[in-house]
Amino acid sequence: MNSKCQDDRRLTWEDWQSKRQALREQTRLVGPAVTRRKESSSDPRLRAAFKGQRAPDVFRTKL
Amino acid sequence: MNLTTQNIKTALMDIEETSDLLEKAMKLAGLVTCLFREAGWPLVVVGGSAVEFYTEGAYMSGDIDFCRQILTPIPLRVSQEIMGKLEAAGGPRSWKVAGLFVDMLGLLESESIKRCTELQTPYGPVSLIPPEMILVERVLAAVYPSRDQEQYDIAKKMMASGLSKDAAFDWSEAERLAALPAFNVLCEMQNMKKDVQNELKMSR
Repeated sequence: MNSKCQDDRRLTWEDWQSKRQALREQTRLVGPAVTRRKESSSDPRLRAAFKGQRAPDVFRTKL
Repeated sequence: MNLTTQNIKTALMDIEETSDLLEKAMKLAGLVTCLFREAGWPLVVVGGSAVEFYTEGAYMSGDIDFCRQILTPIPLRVSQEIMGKLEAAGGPRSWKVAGLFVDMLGLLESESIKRCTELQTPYGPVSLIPPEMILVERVLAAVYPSRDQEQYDIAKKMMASGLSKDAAFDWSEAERLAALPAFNVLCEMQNMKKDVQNELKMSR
């Protein structure tokens, strides 16, 4: 699908997936696991579309 | 990538079935970016989904924000035609597609001299606003006009991300941006960085 990217600001899908867990662990050391804003100007459409929530009811597979 | 109608249908089915929210958003961003680039408008992902990409902080909500990289505005008719290919509902600057909202915000505003991060998704490359730019914006929002705890938490996570060993993050660029009159948060950012470094050190 994708060739290995040389530049450090270019990531293949596979590179990205392989780094996500370590990044999640690193950032969780300095704050809450979930940092989603409690409200925003997009609330009416988001909550109307996603059963009262601000995001769809899909789970984060590795949360 | 040549996107035929059948390719698009297959991609949309895959995106709708993707259970990880960020993965879902990046796949959809790849598809949207590909179609707009073919039409002559390169896009950049900004906002919550870019923050989520850099922090894995469960931050993003159900929308993806895009900015265009060139001055020429995207005619609304063109946007509608492109998003129509994705069976999107709504418009002309915000659509619902594959279970998420896509927002077209306008021209990219970025003082950063660093290139965007590029992620190769299954449906084409996605450009994301440089992390240094996001960090400095979040530091500003965290401390001015008054302390904002939500923004403070995100700024700390962006810093922790930038301090990780694999990070493609340029601290000298972040400091240059923070010192610009447009932000003027260099001291605040440096203090916050010390706090984050200490927290990371103590938790290991």
